[in-house]
Amino acid sequence: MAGLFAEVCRVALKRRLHSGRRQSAADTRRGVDLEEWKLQEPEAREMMGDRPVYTVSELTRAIKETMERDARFRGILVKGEISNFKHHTSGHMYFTLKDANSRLKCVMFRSHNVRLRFRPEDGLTVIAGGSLSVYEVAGEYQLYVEELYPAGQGALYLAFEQLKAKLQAEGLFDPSRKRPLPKLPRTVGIVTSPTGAAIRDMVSVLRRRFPNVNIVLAPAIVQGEAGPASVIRAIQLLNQRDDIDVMIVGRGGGSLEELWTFNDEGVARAIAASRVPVISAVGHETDFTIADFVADRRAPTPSAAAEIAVPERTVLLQELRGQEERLFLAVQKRVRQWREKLGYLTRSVALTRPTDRVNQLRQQLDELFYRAEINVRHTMESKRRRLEALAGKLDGLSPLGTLARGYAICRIAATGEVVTDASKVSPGERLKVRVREGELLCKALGESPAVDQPSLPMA
Amino acid sequence: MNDVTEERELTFEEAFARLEQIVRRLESGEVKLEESLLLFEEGVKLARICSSRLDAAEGKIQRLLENTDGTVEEIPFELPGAASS
Repeated sequence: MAGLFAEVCRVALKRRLHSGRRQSAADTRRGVDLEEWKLQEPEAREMMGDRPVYTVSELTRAIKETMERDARFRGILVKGEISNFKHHTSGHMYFTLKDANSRLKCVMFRSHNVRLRFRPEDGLTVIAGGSLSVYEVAGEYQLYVEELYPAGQGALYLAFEQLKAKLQAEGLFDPSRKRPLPKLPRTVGIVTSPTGAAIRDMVSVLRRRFPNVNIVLAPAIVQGEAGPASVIRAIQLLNQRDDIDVMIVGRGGGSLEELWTFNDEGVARAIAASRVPVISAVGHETDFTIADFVADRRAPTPSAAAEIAVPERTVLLQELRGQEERLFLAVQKRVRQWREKLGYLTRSVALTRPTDRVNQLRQQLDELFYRAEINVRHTMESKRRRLEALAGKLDGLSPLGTLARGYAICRIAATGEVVTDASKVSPGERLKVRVREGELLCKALGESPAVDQPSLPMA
Repeated sequence: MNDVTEERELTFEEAFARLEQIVRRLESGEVKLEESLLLFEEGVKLARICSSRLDAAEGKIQRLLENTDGTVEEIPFELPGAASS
């Protein structure tokens, strides 16, 4: 019995050695109880048959090679929802794409993900492009992602939404931040391309509305990779000057790609930081760019921006002339009222406190006329005519006019003092009486009996 | 009401607003004659300021040119080819 058993063992061993296996079951069982092994070994040998025994690494490698050779797993697109997203300090991105029933580990190396224009994050549904392989150390199959697209929305649009949310949270779009535009800018700054329709349209509109406004163009590249830095620099250059009262930043219409410069974060911040108020004019009638949100005013086109930037000179001039007209009329009316009142007064017996008062006013009016005339020389002819008419009317109020109408001015001969109170004149007192032509030397007989001499109030 | 009008400091908007105010006051008829004349004088002065503000700009168009050494120049700007003037 023992001999037979030993014989079976020997044959089994020989068979194993001859089949070319590098590592036999016998070798690995060196630490096991030899008796137990001897009992189990033939049964195990029976079950294992001729199958090869791999190491873990060998098997993993085999799977990897199979996967990498299979065309079904090369350059594929996979749609799923991002979860467990990690952006390593190394720059590599690791995440899992999942759907209702399964999960797929993914890695996107830095060299590929630097070009991404949106930020992948958990919950986002994306389409990942790449090839399957195996990360041998962990024994996991992975999708090595080379391209990533947001599913359902363009990458650009998503980036726009993300930046908009971020800047809004910072308060950059707050209405309270927006500065009022100057009503009458003397110099308008423009940031745009020096060629093209936008600058031409803006200059045309500015010139039409306000022919003598100054314009300073800070030329910039308004699309492509170089756009943002160029626009930012142009805004800075205009801010360095002290003569720019308002600036327009913009370009003509284009696709979302072409307008992308005005959705750039750096450009948005440069507009927010600008000391000079900014009107944004990115030719896109219905959609807004980030620049539109940050700017102090938004215009749907460059031409519209120019209309906002300056007023119409002719309109302002008309308004000014309207006010001047009313000014003259109002003063004329006021003086006429005074004259009428004075006319009532002069119909009474004497002129109360006439000379000083009227002379003062007459002198004021003379000075006014003189100075106003100088002012008027700068403006319209009609003003001069009005002033003359005014002065002419007032002439009638002067003492000379009064004298012309037959009234006299009475003075104490000795002192030259004007007589206003008849009771203060003593009988026999010498008086000088000025009439229109010449002067009389008189002697008072005394106060004549009072008939109707009211005290006259002054104008 | 009888403020001294600082010519150098007033903007068009400020001068015009003050002029409107003076006109309204004069039209109200509540003003004595002397004050009327003073207001009139100020009004004429303000109108002159407004006028000079409208004429202040010189109508220059320039473009900026940044040199490699960092200096910035102004050069006269000509509009790109008159396709449709």
